[in-house]
Amino acid sequence: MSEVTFERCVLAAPPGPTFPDWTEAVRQALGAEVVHSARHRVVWLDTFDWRLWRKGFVLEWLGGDGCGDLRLRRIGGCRVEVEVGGVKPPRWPDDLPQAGLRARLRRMTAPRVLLPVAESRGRRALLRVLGPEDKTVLRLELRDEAVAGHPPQRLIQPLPIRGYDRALRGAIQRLRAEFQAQWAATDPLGLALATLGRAPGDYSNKLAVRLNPLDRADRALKKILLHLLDLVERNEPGVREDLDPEFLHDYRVSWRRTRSLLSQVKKVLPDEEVARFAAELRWISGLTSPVRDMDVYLLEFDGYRESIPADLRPGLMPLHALLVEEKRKAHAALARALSSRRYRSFMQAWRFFLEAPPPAYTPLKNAARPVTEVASRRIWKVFRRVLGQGRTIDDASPPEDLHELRKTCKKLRYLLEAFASLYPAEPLQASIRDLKHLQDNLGEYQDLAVHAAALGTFRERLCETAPDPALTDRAIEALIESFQRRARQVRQEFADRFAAFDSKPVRKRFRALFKEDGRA
Amino acid sequence: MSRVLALYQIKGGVGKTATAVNLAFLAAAEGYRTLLWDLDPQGATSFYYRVRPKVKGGARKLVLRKRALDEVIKGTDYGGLDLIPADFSYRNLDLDLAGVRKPHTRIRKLLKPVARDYDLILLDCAPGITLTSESVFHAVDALVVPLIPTTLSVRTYHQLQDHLSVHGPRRLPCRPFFSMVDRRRGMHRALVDTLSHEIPEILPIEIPYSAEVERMGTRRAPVCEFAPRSPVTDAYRRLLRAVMGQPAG
Repeated sequence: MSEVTFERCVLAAPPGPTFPDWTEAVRQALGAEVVHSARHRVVWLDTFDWRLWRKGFVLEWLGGDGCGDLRLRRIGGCRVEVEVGGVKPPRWPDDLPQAGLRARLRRMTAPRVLLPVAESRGRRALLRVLGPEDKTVLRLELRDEAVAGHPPQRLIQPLPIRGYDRALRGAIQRLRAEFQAQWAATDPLGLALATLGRAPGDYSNKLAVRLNPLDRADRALKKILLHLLDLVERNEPGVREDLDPEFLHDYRVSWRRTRSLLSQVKKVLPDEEVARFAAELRWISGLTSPVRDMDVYLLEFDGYRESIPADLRPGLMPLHALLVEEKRKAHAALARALSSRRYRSFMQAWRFFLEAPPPAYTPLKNAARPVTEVASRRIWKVFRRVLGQGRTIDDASPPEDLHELRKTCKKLRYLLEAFASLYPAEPLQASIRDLKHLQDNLGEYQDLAVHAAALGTFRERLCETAPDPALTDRAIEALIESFQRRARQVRQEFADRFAAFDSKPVRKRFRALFKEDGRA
Repeated sequence: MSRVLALYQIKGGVGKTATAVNLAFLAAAEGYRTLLWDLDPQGATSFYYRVRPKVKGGARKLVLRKRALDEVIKGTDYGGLDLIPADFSYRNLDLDLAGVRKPHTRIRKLLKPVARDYDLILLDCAPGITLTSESVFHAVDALVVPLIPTTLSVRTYHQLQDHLSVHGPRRLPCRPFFSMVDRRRGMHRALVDTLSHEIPEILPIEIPYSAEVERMGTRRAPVCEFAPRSPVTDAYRRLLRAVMGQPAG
């Protein structure tokens, strides 16, 4: 009976008798006892980008109006990994009093908020089958539940107990034979979402646009930009409400990719229009940057604390308060801007522009060329620029040179990701990995410099307002020093990282992918 | 990475099993995926959890790795808490271990494949210094040592430390705590005060002597389950926080 395993999840039974009659019939057939039976609500929780689902887990809360049970199990499997009781559906792992589950969820979801992804209501009865010495050998949940506005489903969720497979097999056999129960095709969460016309994992911040290699460059570019606009719009409500820092991050990244593509892929879209939109994009970027900066400092704050001596740590508390206040102000300004007429008309105009079909005749040099040709040429050019800039950097070069290189690398990365579907997946992903290895170094170096400079500013402001200015001053100074130490280390690693990128195999791979004639 | 702890003391009757049973229950209730291995042939832990003290093929097959530990794990009545039951053949565990190469690393090797499925693995050991206990020392991150505030119990703790300094793995931490403390007895009070200074590593936790704990035999359940608000449950909770490295709450 290979089908009766922990890998199957839930049985669906046809509607028939009332729920109490059905429960009683099942109880009798299995020789079980009813532990409890009540009205219930199931709330499935995950992050906006499905971090739990992508790691293979389902988090479900089951309860009435007050507290209930929170259960973490594998997708499509009925074996419960962790179950805790007496909790409300949490928004953050830290809302949970149970340390074990709290830590586990934090590892899988931080810094994202847990959102209800689906909900159903109905009746639930928990049954248990006892073996010798009154040991529980099987638990079963009978559920009649419905997603709002849809007909109810009758489900049987076995909750088997490890090492008592015979009890599970026997029960499943009887349920199938006597109650016409069948294994459902998918997880209860999948069933609930299907009712709503959705599927799990339906959001990703990845730029997954499939392009036709022979399509005109302008049409292909608009397709990518439209996808980015969709990502922006999906994240916008979370940005407005500041649900968690990742909404703003994904929102910003989508706009940054948009700006980068507009400036990189030239003579494809009309210059005047692009210039007009680019000005608005700069405006939005200027509004989001202060919020993101504060988010980053706040996310890193625990790390800041850890990196300085314990006796100085209390000195950082005024910094935390300042960051929170700055974030609040910056976010209020952003939220106002997102509700402004200027923003709304820009969004409308941008979508209208992107959705308009490209003209049959265009004076723009690259617009009607095949997208692969335009993309390859541009990627090759930016790749050569990365190599050129990197080769001039030595141990004596100023930080600005590394910053310039970092910006060029970013442009290259956005191009590679935007046009990924035009190239063979394996070498392209390898090229992105090589580039990322270099970018990690450059990014960390830049972040350390920016953070150190920002801390310098905060230090000046806090020397007047902090309750113990001397302590705060020393704490921030220690922090700046730790950044500078780390920055020196990162700077030393640059030469090796760049050499790895400027190596023959990497150059060869780029050449094979993007240089048509295959010559260097 | 799971944390592996052993409830261990050379002396018997100091509350090892009661502690193991309750710590495991509380850990699972906190959402730690927990595995409890009843290594004592008396099988009291298995009894409390209503699991038959029987391992197919006995200790020998496990030690010889003819049966994987994974196959003998039993779920308890509590979500997230599994048990490896005792078996009467565990009385010969020393002999079985003596027959294999590197016996002191054997328990560690047996646990390795199941370790990733759990956040906490607790070993409830039989008393005495044996080849089995040495193998346990090499398998765990720390020993949790119940200490009744009596002269004999303290003496065996010193014996354990002497033994570990010569035969144990290097830097194996010991987490002693006071067990079965009867505050009505002058000697218990006096010894708790003295030993708290003399043994710096001792955890500041006293599990009180309690009639509730004895009721575990008739209820066949952890005291923390049927008396969740009793002082003894509260003490076990603090002990769990201390051994899991959480801040005292």
